[in-house]
Amino acid sequence: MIGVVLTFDKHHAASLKSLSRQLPLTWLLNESGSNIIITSWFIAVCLIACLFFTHIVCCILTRIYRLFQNGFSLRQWLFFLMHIMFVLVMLSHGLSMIIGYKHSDIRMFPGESIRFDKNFILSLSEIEFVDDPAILKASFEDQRALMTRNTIHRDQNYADIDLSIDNRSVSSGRIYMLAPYRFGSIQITLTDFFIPENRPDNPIGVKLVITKNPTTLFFFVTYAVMIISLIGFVVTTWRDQTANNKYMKFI
Amino acid sequence: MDISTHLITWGLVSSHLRRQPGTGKKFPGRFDIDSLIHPDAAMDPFIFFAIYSCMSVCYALACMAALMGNSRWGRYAGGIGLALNLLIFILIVFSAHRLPIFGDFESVTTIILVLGFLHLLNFYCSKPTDRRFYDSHAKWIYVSILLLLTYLAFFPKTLNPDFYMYDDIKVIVFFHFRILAFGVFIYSALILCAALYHGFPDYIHMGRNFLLTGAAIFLISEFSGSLWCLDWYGDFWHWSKGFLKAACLFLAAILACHIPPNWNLSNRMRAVIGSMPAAGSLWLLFLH
Repeated sequence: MIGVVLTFDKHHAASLKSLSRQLPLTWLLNESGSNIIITSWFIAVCLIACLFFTHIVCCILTRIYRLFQNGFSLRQWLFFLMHIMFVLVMLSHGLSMIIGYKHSDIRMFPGESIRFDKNFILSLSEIEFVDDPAILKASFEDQRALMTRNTIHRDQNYADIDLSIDNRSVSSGRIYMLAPYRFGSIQITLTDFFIPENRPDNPIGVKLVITKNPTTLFFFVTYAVMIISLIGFVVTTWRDQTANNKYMKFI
Repeated sequence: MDISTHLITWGLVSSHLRRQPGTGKKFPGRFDIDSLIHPDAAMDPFIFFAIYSCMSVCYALACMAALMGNSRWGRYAGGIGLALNLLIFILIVFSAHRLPIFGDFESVTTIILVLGFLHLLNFYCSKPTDRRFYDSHAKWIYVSILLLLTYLAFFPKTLNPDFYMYDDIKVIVFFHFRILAFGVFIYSALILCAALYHGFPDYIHMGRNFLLTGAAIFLISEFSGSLWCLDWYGDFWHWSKGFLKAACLFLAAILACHIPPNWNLSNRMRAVIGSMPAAGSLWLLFLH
């Protein structure tokens, strides 16, 4: 809740935006001194999350495990699975904040290359934007109104990229909006097309985000299993009034 | 009619003629058959206003009947209101080529649809011995629906402006399932309040069922939203107002399910805590 309140202040909102643009660990090591309030809030959130995580693990090991003393039923398994998956979701979420990397707001034009992660080189060979470029020059608010399904064709606007390691091309592909390029745990995401203001030839460029997050697949799989086990638990205990007392005291 | 009635009538009529938000342009075109199939054609807002008005009358009659104890006529009027509400839903789908997702009109009409549908479904699927509770519960449902319709009276009956990402299934699932979850959370809160207020403690379990169902639907929405965020921003989490609000709502839902039994809370406190996800839903709905 405090975080939501902080977003209403421009200075704090800018700090939170900066936090989102990079790995939180990187932000904590490099930029946390620029905003003490956000830093304090962020550290408090992490500490509370750690306490919460520890509490859930202890509950699983002590209370929930006791349910199996009277035999194994489907609803008991689902209840147990739901909590285990929640722990794993929290774990992968926490790990994603400290491992890997995230480089945001990378602006590139055709023919340009950048180096990242020591050995990788990302080259941009071509940009195709079939829609009216005037939309890209509009203000943010106007763009929200102008960018409709008829004026922007996501499946026809793309950027061709090439990934190389130590100057050897290892992979190439085409990225679209909402269709990033993946190479192992590295993801190259096209966030926006843009036209720079100070260039008279109005070239169209792309904004990219390069992320490496080994926990992504694990996060989504455990998240999905958690949802399925919750649905299963609700279905199997829909009519069981005693579930109220056996599994938890509901309100 | 006196001057105040004139002013109220003008306010309600002009709200539907208000300019479409975000463009500054007047809502174009009259209704024609092409508007049902052309993705860019706009549904005349008067159509929505007319159906909304008829729906409001039906739900007002249902509310009056429920408060006066005539539950059968309340269900008939509520059923007609539900049918009109479903018509709005279908018209939104056909005119916008997507499910209802965002904005006051689309969100509130969908939530009312969920409330009305769940109420009638629960009633007709319940045992005769349960009907007494659902008749008491009807007052809470129809009063809540009327309050939502009253809120909607001050906003234009227009659809959310189109956006190029609305052709992506992840985006639609995120927004639409979020509204559905809000509706189920509100329904759950109304069951809890009715059960505890009218002295039916056995029905707390039904409130619990819908609270967990709402949580599951909300998680599906957030799962889809995380996928959308991953494909758009490169990461499945963002430190922004939207994500933090969603986290608050999820924590409120799980808090309601994990109160220690030895706290020995009063029934009133239990209803309040169990209604927290519904309150959070209204916060997200009205103040986002």
